[in-house]
Amino acid sequence: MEGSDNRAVLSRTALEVTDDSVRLHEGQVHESGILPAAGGEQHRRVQIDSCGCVKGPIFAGDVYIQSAKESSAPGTEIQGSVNSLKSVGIGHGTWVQGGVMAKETVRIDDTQHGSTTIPGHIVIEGGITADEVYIGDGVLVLGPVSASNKIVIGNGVTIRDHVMAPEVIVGDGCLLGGLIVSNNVAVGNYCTIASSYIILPNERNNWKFTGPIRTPDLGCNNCPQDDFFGTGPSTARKLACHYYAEHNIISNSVDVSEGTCKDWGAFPIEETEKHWALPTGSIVVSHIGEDWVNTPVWAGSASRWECGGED
Amino acid sequence: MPMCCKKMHLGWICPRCGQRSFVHPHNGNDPVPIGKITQQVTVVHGDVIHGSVIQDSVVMGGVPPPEKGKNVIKDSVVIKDEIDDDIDDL
Repeated sequence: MEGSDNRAVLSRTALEVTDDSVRLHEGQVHESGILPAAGGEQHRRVQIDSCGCVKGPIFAGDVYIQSAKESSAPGTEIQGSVNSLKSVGIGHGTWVQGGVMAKETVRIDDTQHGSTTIPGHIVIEGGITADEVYIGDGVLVLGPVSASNKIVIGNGVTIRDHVMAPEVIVGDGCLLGGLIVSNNVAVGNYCTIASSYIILPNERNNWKFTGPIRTPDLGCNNCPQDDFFGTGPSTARKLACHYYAEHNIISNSVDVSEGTCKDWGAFPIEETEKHWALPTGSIVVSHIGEDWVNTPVWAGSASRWECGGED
Repeated sequence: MPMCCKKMHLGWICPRCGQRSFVHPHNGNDPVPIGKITQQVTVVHGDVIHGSVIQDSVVMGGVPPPEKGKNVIKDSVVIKDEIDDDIDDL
C-alpha cells in the first residue's frame, strides 16, 4: 500500500496504537480509559484528536488533547482523570470529568467564542497539579490548582477551589476560591477571591496588585442587588457578579471592565496593621483579625462564600 | 467562559438569570449542568470483619433518605478469623 493508503486505513481506526504512541482519531469514542497495560507503556504519548470521547482515565508520558475543530460533535470528553509523567496540553472544546496531573507542565488553551460551530469551552471538573500550570482565558476549573513552582492564569478564569504555588500570576476578571502564595504574586484588575483570607509571601516587595481584589465575605453580605439575585443559587451568582465586572471578547481576548456596583468590599492589602503572620512567615490578609473573638461566628459567615455558593 | 443571556460570565451559574452553565455530552442529547455538587453516600451493608459487625455504616456524606434505606438489600460479607489450632502446643 502507498503511504496515503496507510493513512486512510489508520484514519478509519478509532484508536491507533504504536510502541510509543496512542492516538484517538477525530470524533471517535473509545469505550475505556487509555492506561498502560505493560511495562514501558506508561511513557507513551497519547493524543486525542478533535471531538473524541474517552470513557475512562488517561495515563501516559505526554498527553495532548487537540483543540476542537468545526464539527457537529459536542467537543472532546474525557470521562476520567488525565495523568502524565511529563506534560499535558489541553485545547479548547474539552471537558475533563476528573483532574489533571503532570510531573512537569500542564498547559491549557484559551476558550474560543468566535464560532457557533466550533466547541470553545474548557471545563476541568477536578483539580490541576503540576510543576508549572498555565491556564488560558475563560477556563472553568471546579477543583483546586496547585503547583510546585508556578501558576499563570489568564483573564476571566474561574477556579472554584484554592490556588496554591510559590509563584502565582493572575490576569484580569478572575474568580478564585482562595489564594496561597509563598514567593511571588501578581493579580490583575477586577478579580474576586471567595475565601475570607489570602496568604501572601512574607516579602511585600514580591506583591504586585494592579487593583483591589474583591472579597465577598463581609463586603457582599448586604448586597444592594439582593432583590435581583433572589434566593436559590444566589451566592454562586453573587460570586460571579456582573454588577462588579463585565466580561467581553475584544480581539480574541477576554476584556474585563468595571461594573455598575460600587458597594463591594476589597481585601485590606494596603492596610498592613490588619495583616498577621503565620509561623512560616507568610502574611495573612483578611478582614477577620488575628485577635477577634467569636471566630466561629465569623468563620460560619465566611463559609457561605468559601463553599462555592452551593446553597 | 460560559455564555448565557447573550453575555459571557464567570462561574458555573449565570449571574443574570440563575441558570446553571452546561456542556453537551457525547452520550445523549441533553445538556449536563456544570458544577452541581452531588452528595456521595457510601453504605457498608452489614459487613462482618473479624467478629465485629458494622451495620449499615455511612462512611462518607450524609444519611440516605429513609425510603431508599427500606429497599437496601442486606448483603453480608463474612471474613472468618484464622484459628490457630496449634495454640495448645506452645
